[in-house]
Amino acid sequence: MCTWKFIMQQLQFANSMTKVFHIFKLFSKIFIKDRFNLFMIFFFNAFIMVIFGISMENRYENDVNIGIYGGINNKVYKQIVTDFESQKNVKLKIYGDNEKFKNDLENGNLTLGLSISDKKLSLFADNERALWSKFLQSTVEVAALKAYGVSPPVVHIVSIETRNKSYFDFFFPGILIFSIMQVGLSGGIMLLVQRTKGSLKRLKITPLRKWEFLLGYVSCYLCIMIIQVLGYYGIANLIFEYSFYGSLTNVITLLIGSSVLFILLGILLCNACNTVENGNNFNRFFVFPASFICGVFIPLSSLPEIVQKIAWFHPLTYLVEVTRKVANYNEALLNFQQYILGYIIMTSIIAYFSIKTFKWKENS
Amino acid sequence: MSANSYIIEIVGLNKFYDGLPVLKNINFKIKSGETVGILGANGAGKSTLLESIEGLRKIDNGNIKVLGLDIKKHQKKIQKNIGIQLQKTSLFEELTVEDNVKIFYGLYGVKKNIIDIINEFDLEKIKNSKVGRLSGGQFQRLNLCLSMINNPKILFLDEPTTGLDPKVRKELWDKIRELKNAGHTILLTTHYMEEAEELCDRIIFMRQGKIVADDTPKNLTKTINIPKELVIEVDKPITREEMHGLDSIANGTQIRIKSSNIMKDLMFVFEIFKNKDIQVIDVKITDANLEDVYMEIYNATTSIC
Repeated sequence: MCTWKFIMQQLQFANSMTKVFHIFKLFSKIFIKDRFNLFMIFFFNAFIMVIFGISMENRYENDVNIGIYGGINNKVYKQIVTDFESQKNVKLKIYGDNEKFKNDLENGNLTLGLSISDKKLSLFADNERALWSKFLQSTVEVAALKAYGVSPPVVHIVSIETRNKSYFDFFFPGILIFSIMQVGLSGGIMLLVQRTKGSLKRLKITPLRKWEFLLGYVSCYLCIMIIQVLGYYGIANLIFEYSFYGSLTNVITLLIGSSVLFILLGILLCNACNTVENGNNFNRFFVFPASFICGVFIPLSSLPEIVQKIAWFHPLTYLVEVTRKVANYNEALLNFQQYILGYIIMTSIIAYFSIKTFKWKENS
Repeated sequence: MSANSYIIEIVGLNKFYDGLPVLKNINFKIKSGETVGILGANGAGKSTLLESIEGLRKIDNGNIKVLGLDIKKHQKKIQKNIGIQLQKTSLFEELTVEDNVKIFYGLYGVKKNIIDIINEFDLEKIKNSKVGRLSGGQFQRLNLCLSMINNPKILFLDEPTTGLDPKVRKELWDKIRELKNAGHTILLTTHYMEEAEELCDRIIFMRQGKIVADDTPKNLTKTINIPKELVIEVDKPITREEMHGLDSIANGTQIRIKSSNIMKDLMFVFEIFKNKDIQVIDVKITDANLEDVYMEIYNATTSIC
């Protein structure tokens, strides 16, 4: 009896999965046949990415990360820390381990490195950051002068080769998440179009269940997003020699997590709106400011404080910040426990409401 | 389920929209193989009734059994065995006719050759056309084809020929008649009395959410006392006034008279013609049709609805 029940369950599951596959195929076909949407989602963002990447290459430094190694009891050290702490865009990182200091320098996690000993002050910088090393050299010399009063020690500039963080490095993780958001929300609009036309009502009267439909839809859009990310990554790698510095598993986890969140948000948008016009307005309301305030194209730190505060109300800001740090600086996901917790709570709430309020047809 | 058992049973069905009743105490049963037409004016509740039976709308009280199963508990099981053509619906316009058929094939888990059903509904010439570019008739044919994909026991057709030209409408009637002859139970709503007369074994008239008549077309025209129409052709023009108060329309040499007592009225008219030296060329007596029945029922129920 139990075996029979098990076989029936397996058959039912296989039947459900066939239906999920057909819905997956349905939305893939609709997506592919909508050429304008295809252009906007795949090619327009890729075009913007290339144009921005080429025109702004190496003209950007988000924050000036200065690593200091050694000389904690040194007067110059104390003076430098005091001088730099008052500067908004300068971030100091103090190293006790010389190996780690060198690693971070070589991997481009630091804009400049300063090694302090009683006899010598050495500045480590990549040639491409010559401007920054000149700036720091003068600042260190001023600090040394303040500390010793007279005849400060000579600051040696040591040229090293580092992984240069260009504007593209800053920009690329952001555009990935931004594009994922666009696809997720445009999927919601497409769903809304089908609902207002009555096509979803036609599906409701088939043996298709709500969960089978939603699973088919979500997996289709997840697939589209994966293809999109791979395409963008291919372009970034070929043209800008970009590669993820951080753990690939972490980056993939973040991208999939973002995709799921925005697909669900798209479904919620579809449920909440009665007309396609409403949906488009909601979409604009969500996407347009996001491109300015969420740190995709412009670093958050360079925005006015009030805008920075507003930006943290948008889920894109969190996802862009975390993805950038994980992809470019190899930070562990566990360093963002609060963000991850927030993501889980937000995604769960959106998932609950998007499934609960899902409508096959207009209310009559 | 035996041939004479009830395939649809509705008991005490009520439905409200925002507190207003749209279906009021609906009760009827449909036998397997019957073709039943639901007729009524716009807003009478025809589509709501149909969609409630299909499981598309929740009912407030009462019971609906389809294929012996309760619609509230076995909605998906029932939907697997019925075919539905909705009134206001759209298919996936971006895709071709064949793509649409394939999707619905997949959802019903049908294993038949797709070409067979495409040919059966004369869709082979348009199978590569996008659905958004089909004419009204082609679209309804595709709709009918999709509702037949699972070879359903019951077919629900909600105004299947509304907006179609007479030629296409007749073609669709032929198709529906084929399905009827193949033994499918059909429940359809329509505004066209002619359509109901052509296709249905039984007619249910609805008015303001209530069933006001339920019988065969023949019985409806027989039992309801509707005046017949006398059409008389004469050799000289005659006016309405000259007919001395008879319920008539005079149009040149043709007079149309509504008559409840044919013999009495004919004698009276012939007397008038004799006095005016008018020769009768032709006399026709037409029976009441469903449209007359509908108007009669509509007028008779004005006070009760």
